[in-house]
Amino acid sequence: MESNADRVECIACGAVWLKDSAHGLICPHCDSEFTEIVEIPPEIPSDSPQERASPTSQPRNPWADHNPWGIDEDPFGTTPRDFPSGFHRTYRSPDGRFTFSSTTLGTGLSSSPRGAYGTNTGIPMMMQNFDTLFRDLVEPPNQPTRELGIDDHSHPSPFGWPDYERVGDHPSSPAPIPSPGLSPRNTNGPQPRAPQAVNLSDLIEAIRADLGTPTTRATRQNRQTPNPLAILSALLNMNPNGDAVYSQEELDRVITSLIENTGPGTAPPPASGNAIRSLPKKKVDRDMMGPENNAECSICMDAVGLGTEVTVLPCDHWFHFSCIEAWLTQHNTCPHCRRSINQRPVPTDGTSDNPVVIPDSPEQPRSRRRLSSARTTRSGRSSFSSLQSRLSPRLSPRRSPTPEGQESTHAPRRSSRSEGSNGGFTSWVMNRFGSST
Amino acid sequence: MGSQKRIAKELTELTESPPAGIMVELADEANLYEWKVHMEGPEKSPFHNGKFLVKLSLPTEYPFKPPTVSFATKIYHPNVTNDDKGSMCLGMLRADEWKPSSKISAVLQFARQLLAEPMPDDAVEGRIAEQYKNDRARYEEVAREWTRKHAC
Repeated sequence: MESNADRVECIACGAVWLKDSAHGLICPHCDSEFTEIVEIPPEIPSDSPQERASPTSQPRNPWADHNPWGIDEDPFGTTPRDFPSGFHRTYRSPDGRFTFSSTTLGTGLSSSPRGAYGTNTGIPMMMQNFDTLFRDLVEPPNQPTRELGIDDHSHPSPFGWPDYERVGDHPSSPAPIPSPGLSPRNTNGPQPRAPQAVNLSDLIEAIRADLGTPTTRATRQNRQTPNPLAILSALLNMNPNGDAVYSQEELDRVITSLIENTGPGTAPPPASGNAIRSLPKKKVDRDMMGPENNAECSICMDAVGLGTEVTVLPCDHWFHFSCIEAWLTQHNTCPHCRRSINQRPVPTDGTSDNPVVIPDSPEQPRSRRRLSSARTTRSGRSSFSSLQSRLSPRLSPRRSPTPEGQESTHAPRRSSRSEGSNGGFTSWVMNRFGSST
Repeated sequence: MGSQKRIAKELTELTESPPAGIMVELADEANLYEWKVHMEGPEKSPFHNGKFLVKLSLPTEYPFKPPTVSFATKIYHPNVTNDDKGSMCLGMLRADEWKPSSKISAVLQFARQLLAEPMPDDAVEGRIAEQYKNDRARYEEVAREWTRKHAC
């Protein structure tokens, strides 16, 4: 059917012709091959494509010398079919992904525009509001980005909305920049051109500015080609403490803060004030002195003389009260052997000094620390940590007389922990959250 | 402050009887919390003959919080980040493994020991760790080259 034949529009010069014609896809006007096939909505009258097919200089405006205000004098001509006096406006994003168009039809009654507008057509009030809102967002007042058919704002519209494109009043259209689509609303009207120089980024920028994000207009205008994704991301990341992130940097930041916040969570929790205060105190006696007859608090490293009152933990390590208090308010373990202070000695043997412990660990704190340094120096961290773990209450609730056995039970844990850990941070994340690889 | 007393004590000990291959001084005489450590590369390691400047920072909460160790001299090592920070990953320095009874001397000796025996399973430079495990000769070659270039 002829009327449904596709038309071809030249992107270069704006000419439109029938695809079936001899010209094919090459513009008969400027010989450009930069053309686009335009689909015709079925309700388009069959004469319209014919008219368009003729390669005139103004092929798209059959109303070019038609003055709607001249003929439409009937103040009661309220039928919506009175399209010549209608206003049509289309917003179309440059990539063509969305189109917004509004058509308002009126009588052109200049004496009572609002009344005529509001009572005659029904639809328009909402459309007007939306359209105005939309345009205001897109086009800051002093930024004449549109290149509409109307000459300028000084050309008064009878309805007082100067920015509306008047469909029927296109006498002096500047050279049209063709829009790649058709608007189906006003079938008799010429194809309105979409406002130019408006793209999605501008729109989002404008919305963001309206939401109060400190973006000055200067910045907006200086930015030549803002990346829409970046803007979208910035838009969605407006709240820096939000839960949703849309960029790698933000994700890194969130994960880092998660690590920082949860990292110490693996450390032992603080001890309660009561637990700290109820720790037994005793005066340093000769048994507590090292082989060289000296002793020191391993927190402040001050020498402790005979008779000094110290606080003794269940693991039998002792410290100045003020020193151990400072540590215990952060972690409830012995700063030396990491045994929990809440873990009471096995009560079978009765005394508070817990004789089960003492025979198995004859060293004084001082000499035991030396042992740990010596081992560290000799064979590096593995022995250091195995020593730690042997003494660790989590793995060895009771001190075992066979440290080797403890070490072997500990070994699987270490190796499993080490398996995926050569990637540092990344593998931490993968271990933590699972990996699909 | 208790921490200053302990730090001063440890500094005195380290200055009077320094461990092998380690020499410490304050980066700024007025600040006990920033140390400059001169560390010699251990023998039988590709870092032998290299002199590495190590920065040791103590938190004000020391000894209840661990110090941090970073290499100011560039070094090719699985456990030292290959960036401008040169952070060294030491298990004993992690917040949840730190014990106040650990001394700076032990930390530094441990760090030097790590030069001789890297721990690729705890690496911060995964690529270097892979090479250390799979192509030891090449690793040592590069480490020697870096030592010659940056630490001599």
